[in-house]
Amino acid sequence: MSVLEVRDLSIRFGGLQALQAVSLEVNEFEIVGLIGPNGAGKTTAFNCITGFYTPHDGAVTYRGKDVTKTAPHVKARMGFGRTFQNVGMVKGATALENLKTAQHAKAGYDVMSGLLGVGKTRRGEREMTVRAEAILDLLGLAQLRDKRVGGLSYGTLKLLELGCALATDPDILLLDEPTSGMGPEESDELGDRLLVLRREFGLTMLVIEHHVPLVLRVCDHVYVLNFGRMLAQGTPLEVQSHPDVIAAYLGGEAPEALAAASAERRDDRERSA
Amino acid sequence: MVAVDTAATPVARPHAVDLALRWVPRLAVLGLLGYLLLVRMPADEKYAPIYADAAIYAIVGLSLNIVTGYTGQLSLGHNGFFGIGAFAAAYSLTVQHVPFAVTFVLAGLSGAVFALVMGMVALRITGLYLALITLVFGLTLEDSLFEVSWLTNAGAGQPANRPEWLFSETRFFYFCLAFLVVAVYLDFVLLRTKTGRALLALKENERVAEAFGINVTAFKLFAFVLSGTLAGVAGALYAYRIGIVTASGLGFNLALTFVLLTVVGGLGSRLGVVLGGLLFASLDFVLHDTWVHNVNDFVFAFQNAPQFAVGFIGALGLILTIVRYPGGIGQQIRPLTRLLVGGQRSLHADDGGPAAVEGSNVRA
Repeated sequence: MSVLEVRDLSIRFGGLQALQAVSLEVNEFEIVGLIGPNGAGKTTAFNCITGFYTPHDGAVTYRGKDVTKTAPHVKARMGFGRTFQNVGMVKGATALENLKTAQHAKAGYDVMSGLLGVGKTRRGEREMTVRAEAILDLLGLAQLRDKRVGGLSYGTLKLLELGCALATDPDILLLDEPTSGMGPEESDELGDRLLVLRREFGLTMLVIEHHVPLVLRVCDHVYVLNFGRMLAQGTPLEVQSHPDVIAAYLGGEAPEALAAASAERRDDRERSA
Repeated sequence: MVAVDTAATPVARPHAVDLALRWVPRLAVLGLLGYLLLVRMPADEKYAPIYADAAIYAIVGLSLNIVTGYTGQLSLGHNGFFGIGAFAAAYSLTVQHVPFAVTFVLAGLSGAVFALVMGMVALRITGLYLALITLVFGLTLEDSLFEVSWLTNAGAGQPANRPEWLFSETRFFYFCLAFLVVAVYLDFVLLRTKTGRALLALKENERVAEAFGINVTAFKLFAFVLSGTLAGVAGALYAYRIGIVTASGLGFNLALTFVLLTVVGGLGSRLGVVLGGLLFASLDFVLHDTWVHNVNDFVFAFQNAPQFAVGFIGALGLILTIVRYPGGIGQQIRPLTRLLVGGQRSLHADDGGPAAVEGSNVRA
């Protein structure tokens, strides 16, 4: 049974059809890539899958259960761990505090006993700190434990954000451009990390990524989005040599490129609105 | 830069002498402050009411800090929750003959109920418009509920007489102080547990908070309800402090004072807010009844100068806070608090730096 199944997802923003009948499937322990030119609707697809947007049409199924209209925080508790295109962390807090914030649902005590400060709370806090430190060690960020994340470099932030997503104790990880802000070497290293994470924690992943070598190396299956439609899918090698994909990335015909540019601007406006 | 060696540097165990060196000055400073604030000054029956006011203001400051400092929503209507608490306590005690202790529970509950309604509004509306709605809420209460005949003893004011054991002003100050200690403790625990982290996360970015599994709706409501409860209880203390509750003392000026003492005290800074309460509660007294009034008369040499001076100092503090010191008084005393708590970092806006103040621009 697939972990995540998306059927005929469609969403409009005003006159813009951001996604048109998009379907994809992620199987257990797979790392699936979602690629496409800027403005293709990749992040929009993520937002529909994780519940931040409600699609106008289509269905999202998680382990056989329909979760199309489930709220994001409920999905997070079900096992959806996600990162954001721009880093999604509490900038005023330290790395440790962020990792503990991400463990909110796993704290092991409720709000009321938290306010009374009973033993359960202290134990829960200790366990969260231990888990947070383990994640910092795992990512090689132990020395950032008490640093405020606001001042960290972008690449480091992206890595720490991955740590926060891990701290939510996910079943499926949805990573939105995990290598942005990283150099080629760091990107390679991140690829290794993703493979290790899959092996160690039995994770399933859906990854939006632009860095082609990484996609080729870690992904089992790749979907290509263009103008909100699924352009192609297959193994990384199949997709790489697909004529439509090459056309989409290299510009194709002029009218299409113009349309892409305007759609992208539109998309940006929609998102910032 | 991303790849870093994971070998942690070994941390040396603090030596007994180091510990003594660290703790002796801290305890000395604490002891001196404690003596001055707790023993020396309020011992005088004449000054004790000012300190009682300061404690009450500080509780409201902490209450407002939860909504404004932690979840980032400006409330200009806290005089409403405060006033409801005051009337609830006075009415239940004097008219319904409810036991003294229970009146505080009722005051907290009524504050909580109204805050819940306000919280529901805040789910839909944020920022400037929410501030406007809270403002209207406070103003409307002042002219409607606080004028209702049965509640206000036909407009004459609802009496709230302290029990005999609290007649002494000094004792009443310690009574208020006990409530403040509980409020400070609650605030302390709140921030150290997942609740505080959830509030700060949703203040910075609701989407990130949701991705972490935080129920943003529930925690926004929780913040309002907790804030309303604290303000309601503070209102009950105020009722017993002045002995008779009328609408006239619960107007917009009070709401403004609450916001000022919280912002000038330092949003997100517990001790700063408490000191803000002390400052604004004692300002009137300092300006009139100490040597300062000579300076005051000299600078503002016209009629109504006292009221003007209070407003002037408040405005000046606000401008300084906004323009120069975003952390308010809390920022000024940070070296001292560092000394006392050993420089331990907390979830509070650390140095009131830009990162603590500016929002995040994450797009989802």
